[in-house]
Amino acid sequence: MRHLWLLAMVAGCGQDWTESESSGLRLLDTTRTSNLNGQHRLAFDVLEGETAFLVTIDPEAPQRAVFLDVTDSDKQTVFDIDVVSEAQRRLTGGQFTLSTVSLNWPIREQDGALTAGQWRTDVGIIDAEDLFDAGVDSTIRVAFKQDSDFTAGDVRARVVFVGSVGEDEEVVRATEAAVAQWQGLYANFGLNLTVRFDTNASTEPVGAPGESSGELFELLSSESDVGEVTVVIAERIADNPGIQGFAGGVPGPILPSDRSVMVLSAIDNGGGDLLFSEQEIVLLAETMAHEVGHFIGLFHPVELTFDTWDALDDTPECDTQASCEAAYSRNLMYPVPVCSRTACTPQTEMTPAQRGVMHRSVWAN
Amino acid sequence: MIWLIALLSVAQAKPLTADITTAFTPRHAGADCDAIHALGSLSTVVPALVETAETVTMPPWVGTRAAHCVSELISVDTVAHDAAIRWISDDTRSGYGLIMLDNLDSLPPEQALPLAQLAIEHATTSQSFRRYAVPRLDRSLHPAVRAL
Ligand SMILES: [Zn+2]
Repeated sequence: MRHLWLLAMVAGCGQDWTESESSGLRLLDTTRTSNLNGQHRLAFDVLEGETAFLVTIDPEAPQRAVFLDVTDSDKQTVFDIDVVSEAQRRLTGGQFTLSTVSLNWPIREQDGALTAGQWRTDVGIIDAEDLFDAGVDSTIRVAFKQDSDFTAGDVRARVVFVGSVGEDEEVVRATEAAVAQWQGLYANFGLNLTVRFDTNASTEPVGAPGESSGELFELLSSESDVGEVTVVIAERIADNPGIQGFAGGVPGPILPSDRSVMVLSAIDNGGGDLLFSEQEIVLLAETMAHEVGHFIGLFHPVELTFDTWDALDDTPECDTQASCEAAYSRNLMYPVPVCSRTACTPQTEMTPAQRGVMHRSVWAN
Repeated sequence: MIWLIALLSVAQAKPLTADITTAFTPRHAGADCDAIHALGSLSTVVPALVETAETVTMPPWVGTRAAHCVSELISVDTVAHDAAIRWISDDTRSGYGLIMLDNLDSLPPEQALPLAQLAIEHATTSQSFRRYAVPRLDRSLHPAVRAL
């Protein structure tokens, strides 16, 4: 019966999707070759009761992808890359050209509710010279959630200690303590965070998502459940000295890829003594919450150039360090902790619109 | 005379450490050492980087970024070299010691080998340092370091 229904859906869309279900998400998977215009023209059905979808495009390297538009079941364009780019606001990582790119819809309350019926999206496949590239294969997944309550949800994470850090009792102790605090932070936003721990014995240096360690990240993310955020704890992030945390996407990819992880550096979060003070554990918890905030779909409310903002209505567009610190010193997604050499202001708050982005994300179900 | 020089270097280092701390505090900024080195001469910037690493404790990545920039100057600056020796040997600076080892391959063998030997000595007394230091030495491009 299910088989017949699937055949009917394939005929209805005119597109070759494989349907499955995992961890409460309906999944559509396919591989597609970019057309003569260097695009994938995707169509998929949203079912009654589904409230958000997340599309990930993973083109064969070294090509990259970018979402050009999204059209709803009434054939109305709800996302247009030209409009979004002109607004100079960061709405989704889907508006940027990346090696693996994802778009969640809806993102904000004003984006409206998902409607049942056929949705379409056009995705550009981009070569090294920033030109559309025809004949490129991509792995594609669309995940749908049925979550009618955008004030409460579940986030699942799998924390993987890679290499020696898994044998370091101090790093494990600090990570477990930070996770407990991270759970408390997310609970304040209506998110129930469940975390499981794992290890991986790789002894190679761990790099940044999308830059290096691609095979490892693809493996680790494939070992996580669908919809479970993979958090990698490494000694350091190779070739990124001093970077304490790195998320693979805004939002992160919903299929296994070299970007489908969030990486944390034990040394750069523990400081010069390799020991985690109570303050460092608090900050590590905030770093986990911040980086996974990116992975779920949040941008910084303002970048530190003070001329680039997110696309949310209730995050004020400050344009100086002083005015931005006044607005955001306690905001979890502010890109800099406000510190006094030996202590930092707790960053534990999010605006209602920021919370709304998290609750609309397929990563929070 | 010596106290005057010391006083001057402290007086110069203070605003620099503040600038370095500000530059290194953002979450995603990393260690842009070229920008820091451009803030002054080696004689002012390196002491400020060392002071930053040893006195700024929050956020912890300010210190690790400062230590990384120090590691890039080991071969050209004695203050940086002395800091590297101190950090590789000091169990309370083990994190910085590992950051020094991360830059070992950029040093000439005659500088890399003594630092690696210090790391081996430290590793005999500290399991946590040994856990991370030995694989770094084993991966070194210097055959003499790998042979330790
Ligand atoms: Zn961030």
